[in-house]
Amino acid sequence: MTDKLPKLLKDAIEQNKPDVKVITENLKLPWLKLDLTFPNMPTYWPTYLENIEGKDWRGQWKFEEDSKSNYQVKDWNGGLLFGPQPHDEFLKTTQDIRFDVDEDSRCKKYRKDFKFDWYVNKSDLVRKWIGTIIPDEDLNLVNTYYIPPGGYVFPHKDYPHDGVGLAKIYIAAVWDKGNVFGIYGCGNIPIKQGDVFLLNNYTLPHWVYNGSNTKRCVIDIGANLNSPQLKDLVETSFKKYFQNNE
Amino acid sequence: MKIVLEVLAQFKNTAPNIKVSSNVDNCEFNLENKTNTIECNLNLQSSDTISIEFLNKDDNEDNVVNLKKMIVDDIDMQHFIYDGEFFPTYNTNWYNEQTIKPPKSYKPGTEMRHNGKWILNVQLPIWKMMMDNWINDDRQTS
Repeated sequence: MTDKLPKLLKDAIEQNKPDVKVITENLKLPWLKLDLTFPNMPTYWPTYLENIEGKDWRGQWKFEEDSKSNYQVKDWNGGLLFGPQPHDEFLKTTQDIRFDVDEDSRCKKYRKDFKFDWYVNKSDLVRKWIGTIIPDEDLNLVNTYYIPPGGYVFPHKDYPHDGVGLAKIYIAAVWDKGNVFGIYGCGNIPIKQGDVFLLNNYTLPHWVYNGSNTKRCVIDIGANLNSPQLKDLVETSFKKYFQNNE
Repeated sequence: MKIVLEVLAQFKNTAPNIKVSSNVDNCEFNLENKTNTIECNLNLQSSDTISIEFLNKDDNEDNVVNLKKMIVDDIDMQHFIYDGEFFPTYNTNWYNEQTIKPPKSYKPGTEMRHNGKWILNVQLPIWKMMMDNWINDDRQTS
């Protein structure tokens, strides 16, 4: 039926399909739910959170104010699972990049200039699970973000160095009802325990709040979305989300 | 709507006087302390301005008004105060003495070293105005 069509239209009709580059760079979707579920790890998180007690994630990344004095952040903290090593050397060398570019973007930009490795050992359950989805060479950064009940981060916007949109893989590792991840003009992301999303934290202001009665913990992954495994995951998820009538 | 300002005043004898206004309302304050937290209620329209007018510049002792913080409807305006623009009313004698003429306005203009009016455009609701400003900022974004 398409034989007599002009070649341009014929090719477009026959060959058009979801493309990870278009989805993540050109489309400014606020989020995309990935076709993946993170397993429940009820014994892992209490121990993990005990271990990061007293550490200051913002201080580690040399943000201007530490978590305690910054009123825009209440009780928010995080831990570094995978990233540049040695970390201090990375910060020193990359300090010339624009001040408002976030740490994910910074790691992506300098991925080939530093050694990147895990900060947790091979038996770590989160490391093992991530390893089944993304090979180490395609990881840029893996953080955990933790907020106790009542904690929050004020509305803010992050800035990339390369104009990307959807970029962060965001895993709701411990997420009770009452938690909020709001994106301006879009409402709250419909996140449930175990969900894995691809988030765009660059186009719109966003904020988080733990209105539940339990500690909330998420895993945030910066990765090469064009790697074969992730490309397939993103494109399949996009199809499921937007073309589920097929 | 409640407006709270934190304003630093620099002076020896002449404490700065300021007038805080919306398009339809105003109130005046004498900044007697080095750090002043002042509060007033202004009737604000959905699209309005909040202005601070420095009224009594004393050129002999160089008094200065420095806006540090503005809270509107219990929302800290944060860095958005730097979107405000200061339109000085220069002392005529001083102005005529300047070989390189000073600008007609300053932005950011939170430090007021001349008589004049600092003006910030605001839209209600405030939270939405802040979000819209973020969307439209000129830094590289996605």
